[in-house]
Amino acid sequence: MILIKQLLGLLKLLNSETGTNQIAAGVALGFILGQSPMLSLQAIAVFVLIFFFRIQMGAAFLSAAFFKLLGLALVPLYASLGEWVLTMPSLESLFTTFYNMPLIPLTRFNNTVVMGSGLLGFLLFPVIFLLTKILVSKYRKLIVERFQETKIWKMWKASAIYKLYFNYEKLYGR
Amino acid sequence: MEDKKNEKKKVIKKKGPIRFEAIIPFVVMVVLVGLYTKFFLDTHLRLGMEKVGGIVHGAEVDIAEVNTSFINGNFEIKGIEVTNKEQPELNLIQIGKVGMGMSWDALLRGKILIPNAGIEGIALNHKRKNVGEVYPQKAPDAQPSAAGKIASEAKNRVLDQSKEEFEGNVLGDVATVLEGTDAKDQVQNIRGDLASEKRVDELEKLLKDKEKEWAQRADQLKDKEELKALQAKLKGIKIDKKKPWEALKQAKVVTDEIKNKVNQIKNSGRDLKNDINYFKNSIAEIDNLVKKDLQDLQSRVKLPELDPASFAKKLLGNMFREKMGETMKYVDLARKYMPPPKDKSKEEPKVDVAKELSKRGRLIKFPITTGYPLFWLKEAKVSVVGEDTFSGSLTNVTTAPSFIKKPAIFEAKGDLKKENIQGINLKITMDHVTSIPKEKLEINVASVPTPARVLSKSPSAQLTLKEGRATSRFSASISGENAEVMWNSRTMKPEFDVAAKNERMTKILQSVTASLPELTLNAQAVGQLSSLKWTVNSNLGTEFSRAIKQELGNQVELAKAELKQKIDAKIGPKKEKLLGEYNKLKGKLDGLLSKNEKEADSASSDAENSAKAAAPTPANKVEEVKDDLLKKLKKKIKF
Repeated sequence: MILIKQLLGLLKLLNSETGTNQIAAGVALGFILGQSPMLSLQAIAVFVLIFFFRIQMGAAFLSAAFFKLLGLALVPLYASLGEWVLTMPSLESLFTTFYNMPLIPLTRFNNTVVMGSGLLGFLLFPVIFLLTKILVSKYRKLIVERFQETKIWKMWKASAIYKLYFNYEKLYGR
Repeated sequence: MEDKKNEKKKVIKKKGPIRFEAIIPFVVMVVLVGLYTKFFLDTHLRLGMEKVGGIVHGAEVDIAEVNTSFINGNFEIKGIEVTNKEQPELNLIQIGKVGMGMSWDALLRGKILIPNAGIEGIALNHKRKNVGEVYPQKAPDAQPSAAGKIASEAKNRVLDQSKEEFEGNVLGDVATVLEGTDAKDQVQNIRGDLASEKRVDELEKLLKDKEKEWAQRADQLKDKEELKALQAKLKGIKIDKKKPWEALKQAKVVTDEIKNKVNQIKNSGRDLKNDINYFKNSIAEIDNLVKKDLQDLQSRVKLPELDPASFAKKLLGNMFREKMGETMKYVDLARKYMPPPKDKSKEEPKVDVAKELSKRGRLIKFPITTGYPLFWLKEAKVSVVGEDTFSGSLTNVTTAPSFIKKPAIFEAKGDLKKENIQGINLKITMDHVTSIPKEKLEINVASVPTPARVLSKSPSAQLTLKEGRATSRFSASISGENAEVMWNSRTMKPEFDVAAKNERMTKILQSVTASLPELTLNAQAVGQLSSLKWTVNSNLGTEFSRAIKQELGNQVELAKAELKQKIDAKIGPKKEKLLGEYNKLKGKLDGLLSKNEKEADSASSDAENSAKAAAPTPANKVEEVKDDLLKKLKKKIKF
């Protein structure tokens, strides 16, 4: 129920004029979530961020599901990248320290796939954030604005049902 | 107008980046959980433990206090009282304090490390303040727990193998003989088949079948047509002086064929010889069957073994067997829950590594500088309060002994005065650090009460050892599947209950038991766990053996001799006949086989000689070349 509410919220926010950062942060964090194992420290950290900060949850969960599926096809790439990083002699002492620290092993960083996907996730986080921001702006300009100019939309806006909905939203909507 | 103002206010109100509407309920929940932990958790834990403990035990369990500290990782239970189900006014066990602290460093790694634990103030059978409640018992669970299953399997593994060895009623058998039944008469009345006789008949039949088979195989070896043909082929090879090597090649091929054939004949002969010799082993086995028949008949006519060791084994062996079974029960449990590392040489190959890698990735292992096993109890102190002075410690109990590289040791000593046990000194070492688990138990008790025990029970005679006091020394050293277990026990001034129908038997029982100032028991079990060699010695066995031999004279020995004679009379001639037939057949076949072998050898050497003859020697070749050159030279100079 909460998820459906959040998805509807996303649609509403997407078609409004505000909340671009919330959506972009949600998609970018969802990207990290999609790359991380479900029961890992980094996944919990992302959940906490999504929960405590005003980040669009619907965008985050939708993006997490999308990137999780996409990630399945990219496992060999993640494994190679993780293998390369984890076996770098210059980083061995750092990883040994991490390996023997409390909490850090719970990230499962020593798994090649987790390391590869995690690394890509954190590196591409700002890229995904900016890209989403641009895409949302473009969507609003190219699609939403044009759609609002159409006769169908104008007819819908002039209808009694829309007025009823608008009044309901004004009274009870957030 | 007011509506418009409110609308404006709503639009102006901008929400910040932090989701306070989520954080505030979360913080409230955390505070509530904290308050619950601080004020109610300990009480609820105490009530829960009392309830669950009572249900599991089947009688009232009381706990005075439970203290938990989340920050320090401490857990403490005070005043545990477990009601004795049989005597509810007493506590079965009472523990003053159980305390342990867990390391947060390990907990944050998802592991349990208990650096120090203590079980203090243990008291057994102390009086309760109020009579404890005993709950109605449910029917026992038909399915044993995993640990229970392991324990019973381990116990049975040791007990079953020695069951027959310790079974029987030696005093009852003696009483039967003393009751006047003449053992010799009993022997005369034996009817029925003997296993050895049955086997001789079987072998006789088998020898007849084998005779035909062996003759057939020997005939096949005699047939040398193929060999002769090859020899003729070799002789028929003509040597072309211009191309002598062609003939040599052919000769070599035929010689190899002859050699193969000869080897074939020899191998078949050898197989036949082995088969014939193997049959002799079957005949030799008859002697073992005769021994077994003798033992069976002895037990059928209840002729007792009168040597001291047999007496000791039959009277006191079961006590040792039970102790051994109990030991193995705990050893197997320890091996299950404190597993030694797997032998790498026996490790199974991993399945489809590439597939696994593509799915989950590879785990890169870095050196462990600060790590813990899943569970590690570093040290636990145990002490008993009151008049008792019993105390000890348990160290390094872990789920991964190979990781901490230390054996688990339980050491304790002292007296349990209330239980009337003095001078307890025990040390149990469970070394599961390497792939071969080693357990060592040493339990010495200076003085311990011994319960009454029936040593022999039959309608004709009964012997019961009454309650008394004994010193006991039990040691077991188990390494992998090998064990060496010893038990020495001395019961001072033993008292017995004796009863027998026969007066002579009663007198023997009374005189032997009255003459014993102490009852000694020295038992040993050595060897592989699946086939232990048991030795049991006791002065009770020696005394009984002496007294009964004196009483019966050579009556039993004569009966045994009679029995042996009877078997020999039945089996002896048949066995001799079988052996004679076998030897006759063997002699005949041996001669034939050695003749064949000689013929094959000579055929082989003939072939080799013929091949050598066909080959031109280097000297011949030089002469031939020399003659050719001389002829050519003479033609050129027209000499």
